Amino acid sequence: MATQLNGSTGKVLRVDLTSSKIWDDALDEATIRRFLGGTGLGVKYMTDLVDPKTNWSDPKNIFFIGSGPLGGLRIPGCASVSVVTKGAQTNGLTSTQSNGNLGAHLKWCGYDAIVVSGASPTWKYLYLHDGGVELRDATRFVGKDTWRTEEAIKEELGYKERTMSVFSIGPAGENLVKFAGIFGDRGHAAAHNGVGAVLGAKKLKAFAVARGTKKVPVVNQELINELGRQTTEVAKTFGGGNVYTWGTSRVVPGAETAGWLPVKNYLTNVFPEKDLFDGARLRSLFKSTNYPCYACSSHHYELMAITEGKNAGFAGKEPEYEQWASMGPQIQVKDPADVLVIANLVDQMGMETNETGWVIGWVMECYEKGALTKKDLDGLEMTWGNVSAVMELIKNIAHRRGYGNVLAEGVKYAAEKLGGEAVKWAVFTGKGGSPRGHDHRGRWVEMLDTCISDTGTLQTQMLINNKEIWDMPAPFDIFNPDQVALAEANSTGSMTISDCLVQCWFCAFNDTKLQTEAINAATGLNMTIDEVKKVGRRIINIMRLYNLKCGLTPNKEVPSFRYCSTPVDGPNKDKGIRPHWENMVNKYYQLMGWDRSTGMPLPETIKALGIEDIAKKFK
Amino acid sequence: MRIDPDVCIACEACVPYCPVEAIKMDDEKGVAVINQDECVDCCVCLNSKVCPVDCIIFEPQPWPRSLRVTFSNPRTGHKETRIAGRGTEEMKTNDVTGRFKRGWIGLGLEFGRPGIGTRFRDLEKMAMALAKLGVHFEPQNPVTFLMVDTKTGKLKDEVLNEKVLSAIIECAFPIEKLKDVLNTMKKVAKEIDTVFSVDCICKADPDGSYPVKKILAEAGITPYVNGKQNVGLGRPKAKEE
Repeated sequence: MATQLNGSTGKVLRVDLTSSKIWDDALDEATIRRFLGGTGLGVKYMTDLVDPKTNWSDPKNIFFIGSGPLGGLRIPGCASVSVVTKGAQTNGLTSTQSNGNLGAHLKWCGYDAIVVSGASPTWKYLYLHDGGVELRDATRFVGKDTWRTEEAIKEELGYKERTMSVFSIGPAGENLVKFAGIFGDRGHAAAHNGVGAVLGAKKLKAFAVARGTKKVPVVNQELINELGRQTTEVAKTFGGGNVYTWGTSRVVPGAETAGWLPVKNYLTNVFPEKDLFDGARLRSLFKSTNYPCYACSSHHYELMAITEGKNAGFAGKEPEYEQWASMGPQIQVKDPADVLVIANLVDQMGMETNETGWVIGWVMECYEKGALTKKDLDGLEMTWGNVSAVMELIKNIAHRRGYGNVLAEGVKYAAEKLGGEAVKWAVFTGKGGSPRGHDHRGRWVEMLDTCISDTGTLQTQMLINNKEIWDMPAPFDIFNPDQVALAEANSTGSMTISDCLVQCWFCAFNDTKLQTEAINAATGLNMTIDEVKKVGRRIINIMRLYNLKCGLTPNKEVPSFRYCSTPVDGPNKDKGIRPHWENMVNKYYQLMGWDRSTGMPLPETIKALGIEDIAKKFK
Repeated sequence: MRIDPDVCIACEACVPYCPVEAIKMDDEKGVAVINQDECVDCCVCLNSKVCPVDCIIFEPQPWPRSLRVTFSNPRTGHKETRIAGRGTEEMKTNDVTGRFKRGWIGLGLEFGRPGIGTRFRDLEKMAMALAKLGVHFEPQNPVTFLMVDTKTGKLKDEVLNEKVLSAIIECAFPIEKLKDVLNTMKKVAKEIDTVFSVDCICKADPDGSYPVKKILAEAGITPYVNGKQNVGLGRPKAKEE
């Protein structure tokens, strides 16, 4: 019997695919205070249920997908979900989030989260609605891309637009592509670190969650409404409100100017066509329709259709900045209409866009330099910017056809398998994770973060509203190694809080004060800002303890040769991070309270965060 | 108007668009809800295309609610007069229509405004009070069409609670009655739940003066004067006096 909680439904749905058994777990107040929800709750489930030695594809791995204590409330950005599992790319504990409405739908159906264990002998999908839950046959959806799966499931169950969230894996997830993700609500994605492959291994094609009607109880509805309005104001004004008005593609030209747009697999930082990718231009060039998430008035997310030219008639979603970057300048596709088509294909095949970009960029460089030939590539001429070859290669990877089968393991694996000089051309981290769609040689904090993060990709963010809460250095020299380590260490945990609440970064911009007030208005837990900050830090440290048992060692927390090379042109020419790397990591470890040789959180760190029990378990 | 609760995403974009503040966020349902009693079916929320998920719905309503859209949505015509919106022939074109002869006053009482609206029961109070003074209600006016009896100004019972964005009473009477009419208006104004403005129409005298100025001044009313002249856009329907 679940206790009556506020902000939480008090329940987690448990589904075991091996036995087809479905049951409820009860949540208690102490768990919420310690882990909040979302990523935190997922991490708790992982540490409780999954031995770190378990392989990501083993049925004993679990797949957590859930909302948090603000989920389904009228606070912008809180309809999102966080996924927690052992990821296919790093084979470590990972967490990745998606916008859309699944988080809100879950809460309105009476659950904070779903935890899937086991593996099904045949393809299934999970259907959750107000009146119950069932595992249904998904055989007829196998092979369908993520968009067609979403449509077909809604049709089968009789749900119209926006009355159901369907998040599914595409062919890439079915075929255990190591960077497969899950996609839903018309192109939203939780895609980092191969979480789609985990579902593929479990033979779970999709989550179909109807818009339930159960109200989430809160202690102070008036205050929640007010904080929702305040959050909207932050979204509207932070960073000039660019994302609120134009979405993330507005970033492309500025990223090139600042030298952190990934261009031609890091061979250059110059992209003369950058202005073609300005978000404002793209929205007038293509037919754009606002498609916001629950409780959000932002124009961050739009559907996009092409009305003229060779791609006329194409309809999909507006690519995010990282999709424009990875499928545009990174692989030298210079016509935004082509990028729009390719980016949607990647989503529909069900693959993470950044890793796809690092893979294709590396293949193109190998092709140019003769390390890979047309014959090696099943007849594809992988010249820079060759759109039709790119489309074919993406499908080959998703279906593990020909050389696509090698590339499906990710760029680190493919490069190391090919060997020789080509290893030096690949962008990856020592753990096997993917940097997001930036040239981090112009964003040192993010390179450091990506390499030491436990999610396999970015885990914190310097851009914080109310940043004094996190003691961010100001003014801040982004190429000063000491300040970079300090900024990274001080901000660590801020993003994790958003991921525990499962709130879109583009709404509250990790404003911990606003978020703490919202947590208290929803749950009545009366937490202090320091307590909430500690939750973020706690989750980071628990993930680290766990991942060290998965085989993580500090010497894997490094950028690849190309990833940390020195820019040869552009505004950051000759600014090399490599000479500073060791000192930067040393300083970061020290600030975090971690042992430099083992990577372990020090006893005082463990004590301060109150995670002695977990540290004992993963000693 | 209504909002489909299965589709609304509670972005609150529609809320400020409602001219009568009938759209409110419902904390229980977690969506925007339209107060059906207050909504005047003007379709401003719908026509502004502000809803990102297209969940604002207008369905044609049966009598008497059907009055709301005809009076409140300027894109909708009255069946009877074939004129759109709150529905009056422009009284200001008197030199074309010649409805108000020299020595007569044409009166237009514009009830309701965006932000407040009006119910027909308030119009009825005024119409009945004016009827007692023997005014002639304009037969081509849509409010007149709702009268049971133009002698008493009584409206049909079933329409009294209907709310619209704006509606206009139009009538005519000899200038001698203006003082009484103004006094009556002032008295009724205190009994009603909305605002109204007064259009007082008459022919100017050949010397350019206008006869109502003094009477209005005595009643303590300062008019905004609007001149209107047919500048050859058509032959007057009415013969010049």
